[in-house]
Amino acid sequence: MKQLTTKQTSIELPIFPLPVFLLPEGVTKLRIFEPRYLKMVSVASSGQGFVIWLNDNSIKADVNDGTMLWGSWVEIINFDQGDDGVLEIDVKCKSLVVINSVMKSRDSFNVAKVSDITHWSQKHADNVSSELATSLEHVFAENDNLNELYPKKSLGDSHWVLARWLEILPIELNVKSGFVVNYNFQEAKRFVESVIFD
Amino acid sequence: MQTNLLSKPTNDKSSHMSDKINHPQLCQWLQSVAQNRDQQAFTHLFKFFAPKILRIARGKFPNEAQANEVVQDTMSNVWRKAHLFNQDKGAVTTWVYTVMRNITFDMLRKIQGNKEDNLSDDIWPIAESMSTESDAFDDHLENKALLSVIDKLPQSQQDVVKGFYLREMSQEQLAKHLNLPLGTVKSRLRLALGKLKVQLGEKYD
Repeated sequence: MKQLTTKQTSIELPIFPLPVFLLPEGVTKLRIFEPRYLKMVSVASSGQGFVIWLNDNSIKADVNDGTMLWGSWVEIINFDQGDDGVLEIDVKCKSLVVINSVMKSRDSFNVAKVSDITHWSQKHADNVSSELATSLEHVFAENDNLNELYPKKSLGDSHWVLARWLEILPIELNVKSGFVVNYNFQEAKRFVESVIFD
Repeated sequence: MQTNLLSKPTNDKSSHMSDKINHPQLCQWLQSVAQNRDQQAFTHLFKFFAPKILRIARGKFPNEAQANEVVQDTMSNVWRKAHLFNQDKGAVTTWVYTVMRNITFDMLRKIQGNKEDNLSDDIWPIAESMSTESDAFDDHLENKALLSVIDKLPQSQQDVVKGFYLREMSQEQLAKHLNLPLGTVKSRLRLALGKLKVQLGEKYD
């Protein structure tokens, strides 16, 4: 919470609990088949998107101090249908939000009052090339699924590069959550570099 | 056809499609899933069965999403219970459609019981209890059918599956990417996490 500046605006958005860590500009694919979430998608696509609330057993276990509830406010950027006919959507995170309260909507999914917060990952950094960027570029090149989600890559933006690294590294979600709640850009950068470069 | 499969799933001869189906191939895929947790083979099975199941389920459920749920749940059970298939007792198609029939009956029963009560709290937990219900939501990730069974796989396979489906690298993938032994990557991760914890401690002490 200490790293975060809350803006004053409060807005109501559908909320979808998922074990997905997504920072601003991050993209992921979701499969939607439950009636209530199909409804949510139709509401979200004609409205202002929805919030993915990072939700995971490891985080639950770690809640000890009235931990901040935060989520990723996403917009639906692509619709598709899988081979099996299930709706697939690509969502892109536009900012992080603090979840102030949650209530039930008439449509059986939940709606949350949220305020968006500023996080380093949404500020664009100057064009810099770095080893982290080069290494990330290789990851994209080797992984078609991931590559397809990012037709445009901001590999010159050190914040963008670091955010994508945090999303894909194999670490527990409660640790990842710390990069929103506890750690600043420098700490996150040191962390990723120490994994990638020793 | 639809009623046939649901009411008499064991009567394989009633299937009009049976002469076009490559039964030995289906059998091989299912066994490969059972013995080696072979994702490729499962994908083949999925491609073969999912459209058929969906077509049948659509006849039973007016709601498209429920029909899809039948597909997902059936294939999820196929993955999980593949080892229970016994070649001597019948064809793969028979077995899969039996799995599907059971899923369908369960769902129909649930719908009967819930007619007026679809929004009740036991189906949709509200904020306080949300965090205890996370399992229920995992399945919206890519390739849901596999995810519900990931937790039951040995760790090495979990890593592969999660890495592929959850858009997150596995430790193995990271090791390969960095061209380092897995052990080195693991200890780097451990060290880096340790440092983070120390930093956090310093911040709040």
